[in-house]
Amino acid sequence: MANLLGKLLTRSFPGKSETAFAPLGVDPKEVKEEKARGYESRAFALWADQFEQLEEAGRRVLDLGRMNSTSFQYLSQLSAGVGVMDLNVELTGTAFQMQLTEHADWGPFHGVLAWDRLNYLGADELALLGDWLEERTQPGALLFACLATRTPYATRPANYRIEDARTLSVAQEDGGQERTRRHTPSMLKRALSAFTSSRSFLLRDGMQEHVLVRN
Amino acid sequence: MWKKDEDVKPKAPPFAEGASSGDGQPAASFSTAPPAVIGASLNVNGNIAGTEDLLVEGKVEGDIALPNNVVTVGGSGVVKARIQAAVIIVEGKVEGDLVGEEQIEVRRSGHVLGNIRAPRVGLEDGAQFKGNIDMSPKSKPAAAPAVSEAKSEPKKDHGKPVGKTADAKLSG
Repeated sequence: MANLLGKLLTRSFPGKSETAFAPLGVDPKEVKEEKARGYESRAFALWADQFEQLEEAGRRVLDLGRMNSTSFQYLSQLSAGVGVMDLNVELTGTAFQMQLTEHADWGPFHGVLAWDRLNYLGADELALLGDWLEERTQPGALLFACLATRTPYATRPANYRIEDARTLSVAQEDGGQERTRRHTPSMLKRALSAFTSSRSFLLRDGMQEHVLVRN
Repeated sequence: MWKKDEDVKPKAPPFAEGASSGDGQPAASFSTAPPAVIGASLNVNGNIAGTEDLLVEGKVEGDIALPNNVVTVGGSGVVKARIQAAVIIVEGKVEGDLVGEEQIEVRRSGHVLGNIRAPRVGLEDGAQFKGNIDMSPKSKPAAAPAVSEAKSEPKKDHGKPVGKTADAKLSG
């Protein structure tokens, strides 16, 4: 049964059959660390394509995740500047707000990569981030985000790596899964009211990748 | 206060490995003389300026301005200051803005909390960085091909693949 569910939760990896995340029913302790697995991301390809169509001079991108060498190499070719926040999703309330106000002078950004970090924020924190992003982006700015449509999912955000304009790889530091909060579409819509969903793609593991455009 | 130490040198030339936004080669040759060294047991409170390369293995709180030289923050180095240099290599910890006239590299053991500004920037896997990276061109003439060309077919230089510089991509 676990194997069957595991297959259902397997991401689509061209030419590969490994699972990106532990299947349901597997003790998280059994899954210490997953190696990165690559997959073709239609949403990211769309984000990258649209981002390249924005005016090139001074084009800047904000990465809310953790930067790595290949992602940086790709983004540095795509933009004149890269902001790296490595958003700490463990913080709540005032501490989370302080994290944002530390970077009050950042922006404007023309592209934002939120990866799967929005899943891990509380409703208040998500709203704060939505306001912060609204102030630091201009109409037409593009936001890429991966949102969980099912629980359980991994306890910590994954580390994403941009292999090229179509291919991402994702590595889960902690492969364990447990039920955690998940935002409903209406909550997300309220929190990110400055953005409108342009396209979304549902992956086999229940993650939904979105490209949103700043109103 | 400072000592010369021939045994302690930058471990490798800038951009020896890892990703960079530039062509992977230093644009200028720097002094072959051993760098001035702030040893691991030294704490410096105050600004540093001069015309020789510097290796920081100790702690520095104060601005470092060596615009024509290489500044290396070694693995045990901790700098809380703005650093301005031709080339900056970070293997230790830096809290403050980095301004590189030529290039900046953050090695895998490096921690940077601050903004980076340089025409070419390298970031190795494992490096911890939080801040803005600005690769806007300053004064260098655009010599590389247009963006689309460089993206589809990376240019070769002496048989080695090279990346596209920030100068080039902004030239169009």
